[in-house]
Amino acid sequence: MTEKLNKLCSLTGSSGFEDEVRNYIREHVADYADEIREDSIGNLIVFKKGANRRKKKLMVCAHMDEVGMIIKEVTADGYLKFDFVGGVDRRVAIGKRVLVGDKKIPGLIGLRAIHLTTKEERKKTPKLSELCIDIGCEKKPSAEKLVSPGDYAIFDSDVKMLSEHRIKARAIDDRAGCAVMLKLLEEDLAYDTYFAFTVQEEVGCRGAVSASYSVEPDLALVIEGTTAADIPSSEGAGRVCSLANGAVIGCMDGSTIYDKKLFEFLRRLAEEKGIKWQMKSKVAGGTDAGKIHISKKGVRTTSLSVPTRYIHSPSCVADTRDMEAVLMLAREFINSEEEKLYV
Amino acid sequence: MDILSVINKLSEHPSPSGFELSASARCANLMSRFLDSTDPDKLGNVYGIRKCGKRKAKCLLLDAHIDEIGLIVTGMRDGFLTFSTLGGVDPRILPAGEVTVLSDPPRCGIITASPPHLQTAKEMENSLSIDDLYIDIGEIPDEGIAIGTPVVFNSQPVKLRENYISARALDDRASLAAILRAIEMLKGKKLTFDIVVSATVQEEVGCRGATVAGYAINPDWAVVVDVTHATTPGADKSSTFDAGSGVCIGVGPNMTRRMSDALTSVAKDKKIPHTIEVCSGNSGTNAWSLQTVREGIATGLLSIPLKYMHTPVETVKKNDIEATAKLIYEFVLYLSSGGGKL
Repeated sequence: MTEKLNKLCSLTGSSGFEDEVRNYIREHVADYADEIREDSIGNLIVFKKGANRRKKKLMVCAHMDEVGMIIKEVTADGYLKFDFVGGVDRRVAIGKRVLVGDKKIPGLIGLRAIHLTTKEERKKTPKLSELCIDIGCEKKPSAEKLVSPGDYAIFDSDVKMLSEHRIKARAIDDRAGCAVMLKLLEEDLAYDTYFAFTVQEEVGCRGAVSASYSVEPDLALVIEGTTAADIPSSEGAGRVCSLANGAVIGCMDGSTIYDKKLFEFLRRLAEEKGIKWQMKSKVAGGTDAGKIHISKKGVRTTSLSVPTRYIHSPSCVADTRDMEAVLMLAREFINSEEEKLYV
Repeated sequence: MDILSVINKLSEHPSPSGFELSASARCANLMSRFLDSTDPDKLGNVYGIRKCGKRKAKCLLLDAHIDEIGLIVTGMRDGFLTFSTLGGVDPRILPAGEVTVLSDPPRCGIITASPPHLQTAKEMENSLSIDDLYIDIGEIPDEGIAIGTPVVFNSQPVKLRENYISARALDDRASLAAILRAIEMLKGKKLTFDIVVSATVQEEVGCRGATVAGYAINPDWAVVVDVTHATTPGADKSSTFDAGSGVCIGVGPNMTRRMSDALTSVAKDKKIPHTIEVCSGNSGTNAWSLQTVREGIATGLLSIPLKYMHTPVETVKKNDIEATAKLIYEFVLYLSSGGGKL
């Protein structure tokens, strides 16, 4: 699993530019899938037969895209003005390295030197319009040979183990979900299952709209990386969920009130199998479930998430034991006797 | 000698102010390729010495500082490290930044950041103070992390387009590279005086190493090489220098006038791209402390324009390092051939 996450986090996939991730997944699942289809928005829908046919369809879903940047303008001095794609607190972008476009041109987001700023200025976050990417080009024409408006950029940050169980990488949201699905695809499953690797979750769960429309699932399981704020500057419910406390079972977030019976089912399953689980103590954010559960005539939807610190930043931190817990619980869920899901 | 390779080699050795020993040792190793001998002192400064062979020869000190800004662990809270700064660090560069905690063995850490989903737009307008930030090193080892452990930013040098290099601590390793390059160029040239290259410690916390270096070496002349602010978007152009414009020559009370004049005339004669940098008082470099060591040292200052100073992404144009090396080289030859009335 960690190896899969390593690989997936080394690929780039800013929303709308998920090609690298999609190509890798398509290649990787070829030996395990019974059907692979890329739809027009770019989702990869992978069907795998199980030992039994399902009477009703189950779709497991994780998104391939990540938050990033998009180039808006090349300035006369060769700097690149940009906008964020997806929700990024610009405070995490300052003083960080980036890679621009398919050619992965190295660049950075600088900050005026501390010596040239006042104490008052340092209390304020620079406006997005004051930030720019520096790739070394001194003039517009030379920069334009390398970059054009509409190119994407991502944070340049590698994958590292911080300690025995803690992994640091960009895009753990939601390559963790993709890694779990890849692992499940390699296994023998008890039932037929659709795996949807979606695009554009970070800009409004747009891939999930198409995927749930075409797959027409009766049940959906969304696998995500979710906000963990278990840091000393957060208190009480504001900590949301904690690393090493297990898989997060979705109850409610900004876009979905998750299916109550499936929630109870997953909770019981976790208890029975001795898999660590937790709930979030704050209602915030949203997942592909927001679109899936209201698709067509409605879909009973549930979610399992990996708690992720510093989500949407160059360096997310997650615990590999939580990833294992999500994998185990997702596996148990898929392989559960179908009838039990409908009581 | 490739300038980037010198910077790369030094970069492997973090040297936050006060904790420069490993970098000093590496620097001594680099110096020994071009200089006759090297000598460390009690504070951690390292000197590379080139003798001309004459007794009671005069001495030129070429100085650059070896220390870099960083952080220092002040304690632990709920499994995270609390920290303070070593040198001038703008807290706005910290959230979600990657650092190396210099414990044994060193550990990679991430500086905490709050998830955007939980922040209001208004909260994002305000920067986070050091007191709200912590270092996350994953699981704390059984033995803990000692209070007082230094920390540096984790960013290896990268080549950008058009001859730019970006890395942490180019302040002041770009200058060390320039000096070493000049010394390399001087190989085989007969000189009439001794040269001592000093890689000095604790500049970022008050130019302390240079005070000791000046006293110990007691040179007749000193040329300090440091970085200055390169123009970046939004900067006041009157106090910055365009990257690529060459070497900056300091002029003002902190620089002994005859030194500034000589450096400027050599730059003009040899057509080395340069700009005059006016410092009305303290230059904020080792020149400030060196100028008043013992009964005073004739001091000059050369500066290399650097973008985003004191961030993990300091950026310099290689051509400016080369122009600086060229001026040091030509200045040494000028001095050796009589050097006017210097």
